[in-house]
Amino acid sequence: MLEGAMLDTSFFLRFLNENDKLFNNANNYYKYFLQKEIKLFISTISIAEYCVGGKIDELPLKNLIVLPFNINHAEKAGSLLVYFMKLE
Amino acid sequence: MEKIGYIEIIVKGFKGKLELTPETFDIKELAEIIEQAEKLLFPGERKERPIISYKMEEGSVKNIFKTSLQAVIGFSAILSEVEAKKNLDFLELNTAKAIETFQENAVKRDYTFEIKTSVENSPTLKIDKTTFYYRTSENWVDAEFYFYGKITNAGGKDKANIHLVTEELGTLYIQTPQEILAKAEENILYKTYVIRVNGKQNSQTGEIDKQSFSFIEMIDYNTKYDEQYLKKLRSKAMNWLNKIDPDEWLKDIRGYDA
Repeated sequence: MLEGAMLDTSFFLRFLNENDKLFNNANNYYKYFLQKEIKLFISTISIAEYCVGGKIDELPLKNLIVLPFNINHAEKAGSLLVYFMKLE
Repeated sequence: MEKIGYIEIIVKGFKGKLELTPETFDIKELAEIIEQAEKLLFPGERKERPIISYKMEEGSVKNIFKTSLQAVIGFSAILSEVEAKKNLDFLELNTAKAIETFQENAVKRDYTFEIKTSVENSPTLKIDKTTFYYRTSENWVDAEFYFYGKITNAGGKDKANIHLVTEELGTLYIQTPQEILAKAEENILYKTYVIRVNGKQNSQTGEIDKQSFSFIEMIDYNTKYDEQYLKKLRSKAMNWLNKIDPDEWLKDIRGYDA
């Protein structure tokens, strides 16, 4: 059983636009997660990206648990980038 | 083989001109020692811990805590490490805090604490105003958390708090301004919320200080697919989403073409 689902910026770009070709997919996933009581997460980074074009009050925050970006995440992100740069 | 061991916390010092003895040792100080001894022996979940019994003896004030030998042996190893490293950063948070409390009292009251165990050749950890048993504070950084759980209690006469039962971290106690609780329009007890808090987190281990939480906001979390709610959000969002190509837009803001 899934404990939670992390929804990324691209998900919200589709889910919040009924005219998007992937809207139905996104919407059905969303419905399924809620019905199954699978927790939905959004990161503060996705919120920042979304707010480049939109506003925070367009996001369904009532259904979402926010994952903040703290110092320990920043540190891990730094070392992760170094790791990927070495792979290239 | 005897399965019971003990730790000994000896307190030496003066109260004014009176030397510390069991007769001059106040119950408040005793309560504090007992609280810290429990944390030293069982820093994690304490609900199902073995019995700890207590005895006070002369000299100046000798506090003896008897409990399972296994816990005492474990604690003896910790004492050795603290003695050798002169550092608390490797310890679990509750153990580190207990030792810090002894250090603070040693400075504040000019007491000497000697902590040892019944284990053969047990080291003695001596804490007085000249020692410096504190965690390296730079490892503990400010962080923000969103906790999902059920509120089981809210209030308090002086320091109000919310008790939030979470799956990940058990029950959390979040300091909350009384005005927030007074303003709550509905009964918040036994309902599920997401609570946003400030707190401290160890940047090296990721450990969260469960006693550091202060309230920022409460989010009325629900798992209902609310058509009307989502329609309202979409009507706002579509004003700009209809004008972009999502893939291109994301590539652009993420700098893929740079």
